[in-house]
Amino acid sequence: MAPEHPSPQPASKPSSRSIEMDREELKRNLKEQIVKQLNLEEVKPESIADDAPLFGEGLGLDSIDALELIVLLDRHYGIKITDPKDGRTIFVSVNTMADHILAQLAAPK
Amino acid sequence: MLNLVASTRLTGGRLSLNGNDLAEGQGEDAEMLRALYTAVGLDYPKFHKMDMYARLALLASEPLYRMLRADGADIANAIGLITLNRSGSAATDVEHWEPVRRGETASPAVFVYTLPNTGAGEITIRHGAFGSSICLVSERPDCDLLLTIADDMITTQGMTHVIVGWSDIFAAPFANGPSTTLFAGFALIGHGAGTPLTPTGLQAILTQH
Amino acid sequence: MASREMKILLGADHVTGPLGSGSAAVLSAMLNSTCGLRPEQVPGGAMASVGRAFQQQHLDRPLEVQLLDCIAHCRAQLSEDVFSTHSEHAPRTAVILSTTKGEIGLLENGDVESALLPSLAERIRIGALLHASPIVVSNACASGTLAIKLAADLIRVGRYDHVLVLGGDLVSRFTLSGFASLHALSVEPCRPFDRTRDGVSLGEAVAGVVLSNDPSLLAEPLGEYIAGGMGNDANHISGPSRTGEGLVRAVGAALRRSGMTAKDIGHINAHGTGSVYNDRMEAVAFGRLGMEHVPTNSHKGYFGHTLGAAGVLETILSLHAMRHMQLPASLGANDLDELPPLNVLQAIGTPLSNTLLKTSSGFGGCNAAILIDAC
Repeated sequence: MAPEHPSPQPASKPSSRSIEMDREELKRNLKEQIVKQLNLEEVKPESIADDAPLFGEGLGLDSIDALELIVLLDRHYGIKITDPKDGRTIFVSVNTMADHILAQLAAPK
Repeated sequence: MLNLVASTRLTGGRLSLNGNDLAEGQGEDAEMLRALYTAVGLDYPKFHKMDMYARLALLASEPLYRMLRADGADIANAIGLITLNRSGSAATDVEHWEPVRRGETASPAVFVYTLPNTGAGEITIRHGAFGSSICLVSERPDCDLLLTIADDMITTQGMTHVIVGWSDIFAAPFANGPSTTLFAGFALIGHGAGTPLTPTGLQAILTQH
Repeated sequence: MASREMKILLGADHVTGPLGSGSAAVLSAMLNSTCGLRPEQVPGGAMASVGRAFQQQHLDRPLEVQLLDCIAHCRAQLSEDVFSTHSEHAPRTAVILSTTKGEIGLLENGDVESALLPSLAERIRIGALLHASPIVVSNACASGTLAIKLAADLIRVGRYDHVLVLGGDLVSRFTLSGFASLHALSVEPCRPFDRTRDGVSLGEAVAGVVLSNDPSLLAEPLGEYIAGGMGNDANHISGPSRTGEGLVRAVGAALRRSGMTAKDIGHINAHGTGSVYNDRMEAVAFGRLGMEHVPTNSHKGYFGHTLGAAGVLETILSLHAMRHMQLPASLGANDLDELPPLNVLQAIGTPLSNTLLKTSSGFGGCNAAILIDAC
């Protein structure tokens, strides 16, 4: 389910420690969602390194998987990507995906 | 005269080759296919991305391709493939349609399987088979027609063997709901060693009873 | 070297789609550069260009209605109605139906059983009083060309004397949503072989043509079937082989069986969907076959990609074009992609000979090629 989009930030910012914990939880969730959405049955989510390239070697993802990641972002985070070519930078690794999600969720509407 | 070289059958959780059990899979439907995948020692992670139709066709035809490979057959160029069933890709069609009907995003990985010929496509990809293939959809197999097509593939199109397979995940009529009846029957046909194959003989392989 | 004791002729054709009905009328519209694609919003919210033709009547079985109508048009052009169940020739005839999703609206409305392709085939048998249910060929976008090849093969080996080949598919929410999820749709009308092409446009159509070994059945044959071939890419379920493997094999097989070479080909009507990868694959394949000089076009800029209908529709229109020595331009190819080179028609052209090469490629990696001498 897509989380609620945060309302504009109040005067006090969240502590950097809570952002760090959110980020860790986000990456854990992402790994599980990736394995589930892409039917990577023989892959344990925790075995995916944060900075490991998702495409090329390793997980062996293909062009359909890239499109499924777009669906993942939409279904779980309400983030829409209209040009698949944007995926080339966003889907490099779990880290870059987390960066993009956090940036999108923090952006003022 | 066309000869039956070998045949496989996948039904009731069992995969058999020439009537002898090869592997067994517990559970129902997708679970059962996954269990057979492991039991057969497939080692092909793409399997898990396929829809049920493609997984069924891939599993049921696997022993025949292994046999051909062991015999040194020219899988790349000379193995024809005829696949058929009754429901086409109906179960996958429903899986694609449901979220769309509700106004939600469609899944590209599901959509690419909403065609009756993707089982054949996955078979040719796995085995690197570039030769002739055709996919038909019919109420029941027309074995006269199938043998005519197979014979022409061998006589005119340079194939040495043709694999003909019926694989469906529903018994007629289409069953909505959790219970499905997976069945696949595949025949390996050639002009060489084997027993003469008649339309009746082919029918017995391709149908459940 | 092929020896042809038997001539297999094509004729008694009919088409209907985004540019209207009747093969001559549709060709005329194409030669006038008419585009039948219109802007439409697709599921997901993006805009696309779509070739609608059948939806105005609000019927619940529009494809069946169009297929029965097409069958009637074809049969009316025969010297004798051999396809009727009452005809003594009936057991020597067959109908082959090429379709990917059939009467898909029924599935969208929850009636999955009636949406099954054999159910459609049976309704066609009953509605057209045929001897037997149509043989349904469903090989994705290669179906139509493959269906014509199968018809000719079955006549050649003596199983049938006359085969009516039908192709049909609808534009539907089912299909539009799927192609949209693949980001495969172009916003503007598709531009096959153009440098800036960026996707396909979907269209709906029904087309029919009769193949027969009896010249007296067809008053004005369109062409003589020479040979066909098919091959698989064995590469990826939805992406074509970068080297055009399956297509090269399909065309190569057709050439071998016909005894022809690249030099004999007068015109290529390609698959040309407007997708970046498909069109490049075809250019690679035709280059490998030594055919980069042959006048080539795609029809899909005029009425879109009609899926199961495409191979039948485009073969018929190409044969009419060759008879008139006026090949339609490849609509949308304004600025040609240079690598690899292909003689894509940017204006009305003339064939180099009367031999047509028609090719089609589809999901699953299937490729089909047929050679026909236009009459």
